[in-house]
Amino acid sequence: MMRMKPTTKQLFTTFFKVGLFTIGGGYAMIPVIEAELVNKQHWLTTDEFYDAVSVAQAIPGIIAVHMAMYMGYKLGGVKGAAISMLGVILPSFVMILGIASLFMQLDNISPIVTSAFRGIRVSVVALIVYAGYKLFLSSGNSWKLAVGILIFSLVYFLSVNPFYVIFGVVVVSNFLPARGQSHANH
Amino acid sequence: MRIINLWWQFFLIGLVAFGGGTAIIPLMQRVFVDDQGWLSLPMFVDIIGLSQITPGPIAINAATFIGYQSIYLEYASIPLAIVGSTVATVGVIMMPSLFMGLVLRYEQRDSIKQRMNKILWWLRPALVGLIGVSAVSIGELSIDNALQVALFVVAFGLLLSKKIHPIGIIVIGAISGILLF
Repeated sequence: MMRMKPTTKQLFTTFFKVGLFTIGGGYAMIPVIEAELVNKQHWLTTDEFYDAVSVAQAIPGIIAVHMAMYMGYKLGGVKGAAISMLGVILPSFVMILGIASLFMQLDNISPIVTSAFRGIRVSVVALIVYAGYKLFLSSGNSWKLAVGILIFSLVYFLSVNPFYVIFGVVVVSNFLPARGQSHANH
Repeated sequence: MRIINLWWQFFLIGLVAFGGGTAIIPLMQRVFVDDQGWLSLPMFVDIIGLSQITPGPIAINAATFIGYQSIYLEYASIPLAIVGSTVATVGVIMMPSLFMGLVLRYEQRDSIKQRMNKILWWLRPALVGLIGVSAVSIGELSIDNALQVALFVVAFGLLLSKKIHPIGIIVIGAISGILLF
């Protein structure tokens, strides 16, 4: 099959579009990017695409930004990586600036907005609980319940700083066994 | 100075941001609500809600938003608030970009993936514990009567059934809030 090489401008507009039209963050972007870069433009093969996805999930950071960097680098070197990253971030940045500047005024204007946010806060709790639940299911670790409860107790009851928890787990995990392959699919 | 501290806090968050958008909520809550006290908990929760329904990466949305609010509340200046947004967003992607740059330069990607997957094998359930802490503290704030409990149950049930996009959950919350709360 003919492999196309995108121009820098094409890379930017493609990732800009992905950033502009995908609601729900990095995981929601995976099928959108696949449709665009693999199925439509034929810039990447399916294997290359899923390699990028697995690396993006494995290292710390923002999955969407990692995917843009990885694919941008494959397709256009360092410049491609920078341009793609900028493309995927820019729509968010501009929209949030607009929303944030309205947000401060909105709150004082109308009791309807205050009521709406009382409801939205309940939805946010549901979304957070659901995200935790999915993350729990995706773990293949047979000690996952014990680890989850231990960490919850340390942070909730003893106010241990979550940063130390993450550092601690990263260090300790090097001395612990890990059986099988952990699954990152959600 | 708050702007430099803002950059530093997001730099640190980027350093340990395993597991994507939702997993960094507990970190941001600890830093900006509990430790620095720049944002009230209700304001933080509203920011998270709006970040979920705005297009784009949730962590970028939240960083841009928190950067704006933290600086605006201190200096009441829109230009400085925009600087705050920029500093927060750049801060949170600095270390992740460096990590990705190293991975791209380094040829044996499989050995990195193996090593990271071993870390994530133990880290994922730990992140569930951290998310649980955020869920409880945000739940205590947001849910304190029977109607709100009912809304939570309906919203969570809809998410479990996978028949609804997260944006639908936020919209249902907003409408219920206007009609009931």
